[in-house]
Amino acid sequence: MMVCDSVHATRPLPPRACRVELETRLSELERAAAWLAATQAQLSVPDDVAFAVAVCVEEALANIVMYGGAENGEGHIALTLTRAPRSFVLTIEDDGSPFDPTSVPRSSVPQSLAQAQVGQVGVHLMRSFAAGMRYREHQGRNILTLTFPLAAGA
Amino acid sequence: MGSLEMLTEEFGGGAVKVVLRGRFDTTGAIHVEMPFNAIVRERDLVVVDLSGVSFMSSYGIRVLLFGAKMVDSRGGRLALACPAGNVAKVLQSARTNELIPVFPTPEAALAAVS
Repeated sequence: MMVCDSVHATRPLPPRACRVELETRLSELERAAAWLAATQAQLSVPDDVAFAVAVCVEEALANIVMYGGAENGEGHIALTLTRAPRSFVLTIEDDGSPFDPTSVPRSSVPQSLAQAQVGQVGVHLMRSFAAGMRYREHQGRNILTLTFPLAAGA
Repeated sequence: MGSLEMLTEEFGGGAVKVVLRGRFDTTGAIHVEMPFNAIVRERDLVVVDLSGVSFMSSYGIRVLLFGAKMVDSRGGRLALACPAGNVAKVLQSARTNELIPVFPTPEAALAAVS
């Protein structure tokens, strides 16, 4: 289900939000990318922000689908992208096993290929591409909120 | 959207060029993982042309790192060529470029691995 609506509040720049609901299967990652492309146009998301959001959506969904513990297609994920006055806010909610990406230790940089761990890069990329990352668990759901500030003048 | 395409070209001097085109997202990386691994298990000089790649995921990085480790462990070399702006940004964020050499053209990468 794809929803996009405008909420006209009494602010100079009314917040607008787009939402999509997905199931926990890998093919849904492509649907999320397509939703994001449509949302970029509807919310006038600048290209650099849209790319940063796309990286975070990809990594978060891959984690939930591959490690969230839900059987193929039986878990639920909701993505919401909201335009705030000076930023975009991405919320990712899922009903999989509790997982707080903000608790993942910051990895040190491997000094050589031989030392490099082939994994753990996803959370690192989310930290790099989002300016802020907050996690809370609410009524058995993981709720991850990522913030992407707009460049000055955008 | 669609998945990631992989083509290989003999590059002379025993080197092989692997050309990837499309989104190196999770789905794309799963799609090319086996054929890519087959190449890095056999070949000692590998150039991966990323010019046609529009998106890079951690799974994509995992495939590249595994390949580089595999080739490196036999004393061979794997290099990346011409990642586009956003893809280069992801490689830098993950510091992949500090582990696998990146060159502006496939020819420069070939010269470096040969």
